[in-house]
Amino acid sequence: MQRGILMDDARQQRRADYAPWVLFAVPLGALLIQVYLPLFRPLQFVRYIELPLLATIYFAIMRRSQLDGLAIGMLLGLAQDSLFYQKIGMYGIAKTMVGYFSASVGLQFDVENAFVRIVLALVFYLFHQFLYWVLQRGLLDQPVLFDLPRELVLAMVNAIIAMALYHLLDKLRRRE
Amino acid sequence: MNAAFTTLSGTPLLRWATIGRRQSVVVESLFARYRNILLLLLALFGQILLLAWQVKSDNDIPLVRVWAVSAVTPVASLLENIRHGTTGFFGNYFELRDAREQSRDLRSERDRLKVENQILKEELAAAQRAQAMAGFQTRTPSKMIGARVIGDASGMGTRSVLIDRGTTSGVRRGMAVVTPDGIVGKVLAVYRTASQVLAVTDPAFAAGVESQKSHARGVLKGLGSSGARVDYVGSGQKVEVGELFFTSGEDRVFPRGLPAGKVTSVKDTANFQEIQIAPAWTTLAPEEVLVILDPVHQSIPEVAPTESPVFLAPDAATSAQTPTTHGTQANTLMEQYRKVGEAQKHVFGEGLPGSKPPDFNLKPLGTPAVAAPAPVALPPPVPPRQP
Repeated sequence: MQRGILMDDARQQRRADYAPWVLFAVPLGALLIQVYLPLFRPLQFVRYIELPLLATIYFAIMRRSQLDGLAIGMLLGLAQDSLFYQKIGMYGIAKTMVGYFSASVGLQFDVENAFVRIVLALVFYLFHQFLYWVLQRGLLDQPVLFDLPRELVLAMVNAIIAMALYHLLDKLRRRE
Repeated sequence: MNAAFTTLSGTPLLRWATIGRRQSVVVESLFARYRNILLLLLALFGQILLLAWQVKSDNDIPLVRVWAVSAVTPVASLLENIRHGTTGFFGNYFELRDAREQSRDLRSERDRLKVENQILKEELAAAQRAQAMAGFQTRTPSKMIGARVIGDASGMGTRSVLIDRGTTSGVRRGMAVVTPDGIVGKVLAVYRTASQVLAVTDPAFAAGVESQKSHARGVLKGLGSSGARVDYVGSGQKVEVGELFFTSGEDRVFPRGLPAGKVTSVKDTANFQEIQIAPAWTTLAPEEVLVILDPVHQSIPEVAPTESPVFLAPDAATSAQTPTTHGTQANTLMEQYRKVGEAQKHVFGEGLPGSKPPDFNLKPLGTPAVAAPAPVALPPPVPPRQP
């Protein structure tokens, strides 16, 4: 029987649990992949895949805790700011909000449903990029343009990758 | 406590105590109810304050960066070393496996040779890059150190890379980073074993540049992903498409005379020209770079440097007859013309307009070859003609 997208039983309300090394290694791996792989010409497309953002969304919705989402988003965002050598707080603010709100939205849905995951990844990717753009213009006064068609395409690509990635990350969950 | 309240029952003191306790309960329940949103606001407020402080004071927060870079760069460096070490191993492994599986088949032999050829090509390319670097270091007066690019830290609005040299190698903040093809960027942050380099295409990058022909001076600025532009070149100054810009040395980061980029478009406006240039950084993705430790200014060459490939072994016939010279293409040409003039007893700068010039096609003995790869023997010397 096809499962609905809204939470309707206790199984769907369970909070996913992970080993501590997973919570450390997965975000670090996401950062490392984004820094290291674009060095190779055939892999430069990796630059457009926001792995730290996808990791933030995943852990936020699966942990079912706004505070966990907030903390993961903030730490990953600040680390990304540090590595990409920009003003510390830009990615931090954007990912803090994504972590918090994705956890809030995830509380209402069956986050193990593939369709829900794709939609959440797509919507929060756009939210993240838009927020970053607003921060660039509002706080740093940088004359940057928001290229909506490009961001839409990238959001879809990221959402598809998120579906496969989340499937893999599910295998790292602790058994009940 | 209860006894005290009992004895004071009905007095104003008891009423105040009850009200205070109720208020405290209300505050606690309010905090419990809005705890998450309060913490979110606190986190956002803290980061906005941090941002505002950085923007206002133009200061950085090195501690956070050191933590993040220290967590990532050792792993990236390790991965890069493993990749370098295992490329040859796996190449040989697959080569041997293919040869064993299809040893009697001519097709497998062809495939094996293809793989081998590819490996050799890669090795040749690596050796050529190393030789180009060494040649560049030899003919450039500045003191430099080689570094390997171990990470691309480009974000949405930034372009920067990580290199595997840090304070232990003598790298300092603000040093210039170059390749033989042109400038790459400047060191933005230095850690113990790694440094962050702001690329020439980053919007925050700026360097003083000068055009090759008209010596028009301007400021090179990055444009994000779409190359760079040169600002503040007056509309009266002549700059052509295809002309090269070199560093002018005025920024005290890059020494004078390093290639900065080639002009791709020029648009004249009221006061200044809109000049777009293509830096070498946008067309190349260098694996190795050079950090200039001790910059020394040099002159801007009169002739545009041609894209001359570096070859592993010099041509025996040519090298036997021609002494090797170090220097730029312009130096080689100047040396050649000097010898042509000497052979024909011609003194450059003398003679009236319209008088017969020397024959520049003659190649007297000892003339260095301009194009290094030409595998042809030099023509026999021709007796010099009187001008």
